[in-house]
Amino acid sequence: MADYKITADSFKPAHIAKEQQEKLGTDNMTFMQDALRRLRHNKMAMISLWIIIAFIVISVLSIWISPSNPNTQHLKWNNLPPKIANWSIPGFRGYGVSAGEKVNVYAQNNVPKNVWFVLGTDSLGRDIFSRILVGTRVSLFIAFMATLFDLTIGVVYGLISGWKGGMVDTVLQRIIEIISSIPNLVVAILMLLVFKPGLTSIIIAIGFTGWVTMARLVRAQTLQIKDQEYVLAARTLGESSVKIAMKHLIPNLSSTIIIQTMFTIPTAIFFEAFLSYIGIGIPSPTASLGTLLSDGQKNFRFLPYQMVYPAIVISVLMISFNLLADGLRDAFDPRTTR
Amino acid sequence: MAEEREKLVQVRHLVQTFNPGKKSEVRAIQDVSFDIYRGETLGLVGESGSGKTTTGRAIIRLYKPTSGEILFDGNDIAGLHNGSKQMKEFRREMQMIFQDPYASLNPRMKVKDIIAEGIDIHHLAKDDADRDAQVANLLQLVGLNPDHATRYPHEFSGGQRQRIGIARALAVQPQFIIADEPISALDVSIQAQVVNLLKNIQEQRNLTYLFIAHDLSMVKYISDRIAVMHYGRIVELSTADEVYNHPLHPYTQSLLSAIPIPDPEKQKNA
Amino acid sequence: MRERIYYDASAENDGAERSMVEITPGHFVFASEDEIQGYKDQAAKYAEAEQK
Repeated sequence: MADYKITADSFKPAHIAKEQQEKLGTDNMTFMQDALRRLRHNKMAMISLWIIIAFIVISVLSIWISPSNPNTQHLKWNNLPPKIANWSIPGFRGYGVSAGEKVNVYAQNNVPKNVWFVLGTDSLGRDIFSRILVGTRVSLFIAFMATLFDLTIGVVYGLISGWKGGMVDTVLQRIIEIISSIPNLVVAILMLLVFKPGLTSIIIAIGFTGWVTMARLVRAQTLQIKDQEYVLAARTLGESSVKIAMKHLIPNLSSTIIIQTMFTIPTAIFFEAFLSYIGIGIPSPTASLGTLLSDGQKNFRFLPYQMVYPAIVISVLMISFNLLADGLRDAFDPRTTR
Repeated sequence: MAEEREKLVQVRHLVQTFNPGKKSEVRAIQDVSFDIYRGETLGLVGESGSGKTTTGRAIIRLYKPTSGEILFDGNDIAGLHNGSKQMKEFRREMQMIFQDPYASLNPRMKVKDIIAEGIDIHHLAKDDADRDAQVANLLQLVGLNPDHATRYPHEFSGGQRQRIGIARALAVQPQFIIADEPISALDVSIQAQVVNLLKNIQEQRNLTYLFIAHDLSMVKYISDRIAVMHYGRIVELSTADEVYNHPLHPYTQSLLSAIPIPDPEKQKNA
Repeated sequence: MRERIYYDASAENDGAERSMVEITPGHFVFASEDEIQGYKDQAAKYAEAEQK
């Protein structure tokens, strides 16, 4: 083994051209592009995203295209099990159990050969599939309204409370505490004193309380961000508070805001379903996921399909939003690099 | 060198108390007075908690002083209201360079927008082309490539980010810059680059600096005079040479005795 | 070995009135009446050492 003698002559300065010294190695990507790229790698989140998109598209289309009128009653054709044309798909052949025997219910009730209902009919002979489409539309609309309240009232309230601080913050926080201490159900019932049960009363009930979580989160983040040096720099430059909120606070709050809306939606959907289920939500004959569950539950023992399909729809909707929200949170806030 | 004795900044009996009257009351600055002459660099040194950062932020009106006067170019700015016209004008004259290169640039903004924020606020550009030209000039001035304007902060190193912060401060053409520990978070080899950049810019643009730091040897290199702070008060103030070589106050002496000597042989035997 | 000087902050709490006093031209120190002479002596010692 030769012993190397390392002397000062062994080293020569490396010559890097000045341009090379300041060269940047990474791609030019905004924060959003980077986050979306991470989201795409998350299979569960992407599946959920596509499911949600599918629901939205179908719901919107159903305004104009629907297998049948969801409110039309066909009393002679009530309680028909699911049947898809004359195909032989198990569960969709129009067979039900009657007096302990498997029976072709459609034949039993003399339903014409060309008449079939994909998910069957309810006790008043209404097409369940069309009613589910309407119900989903109602739920998504309510979710959209809840998001709107979150984004307008929630974000602004949190920003003002966090940015101003001091007495303003204290007062605003006390107000939130009072509002959030009233149970949502009580608010909904109080709304009934003023409004007839229906979409309006539900939306106002959500508008009254649904934005509180967003306001709290935005306030907490704002308190953190406003002491960051880049915000101090904006103040020393003379930037107005409003511009600071728009240029510096909101862009850095955007992850929190987006993720929170994704969590608010399933809560809103469930709230409506719950109210409708106990009878103070959307009144009949309008279909909503909650009324469908309620009606279906009455016949659950013998005609499970009437409750199962609406239950599947609402569960898939809520799980998808939750999984998407989880995926977004990981995408925006990577804790470990892969 | 302080050739002209015109006083640009005069701080008179400045007091800054946080949460006054409550249990959490903190007297960050307890009656501090000093002058800064036009064209000089005043170094402000002290350990953490001495109040030096608070002093810098009080002068630039990030805080409203509890009491005392701050005269800038003869005008008392201590009582100015946020959002007033005078405050906005004053904001052009005095700028700050911050300590943490990873927190002083908005991660969601492009470098050119970060640098041009002041230009936009004070309407210093005729149009977009002018704005881009000013940004390109500033980038070159601080030793960066004008191509970097469309990039995001996370793509740069700490030293480069500090230079972007310097460009941002220079964009509004201030007379006075407060550098709040601008090199404390940088690697030693980069520290020298940034300090030399600050010195060059000072000569080019006839700037006045308040250089806040805890590293006495670096402060001596760049400062004409040095003020030593301890527990919210100035305990010693003189020329850099005097403070470094002839320290009188025991606190200054203790600070100096703690400076490590880079040569290991000398450090052992000194 | 180089001597590390530690600052004893309790010296500040003696309740004496202190202000910035110009010990030598341009050199100010936060001192009480009693301490001024001590600092002046120290400054004189430095000046002597410089002469040598």
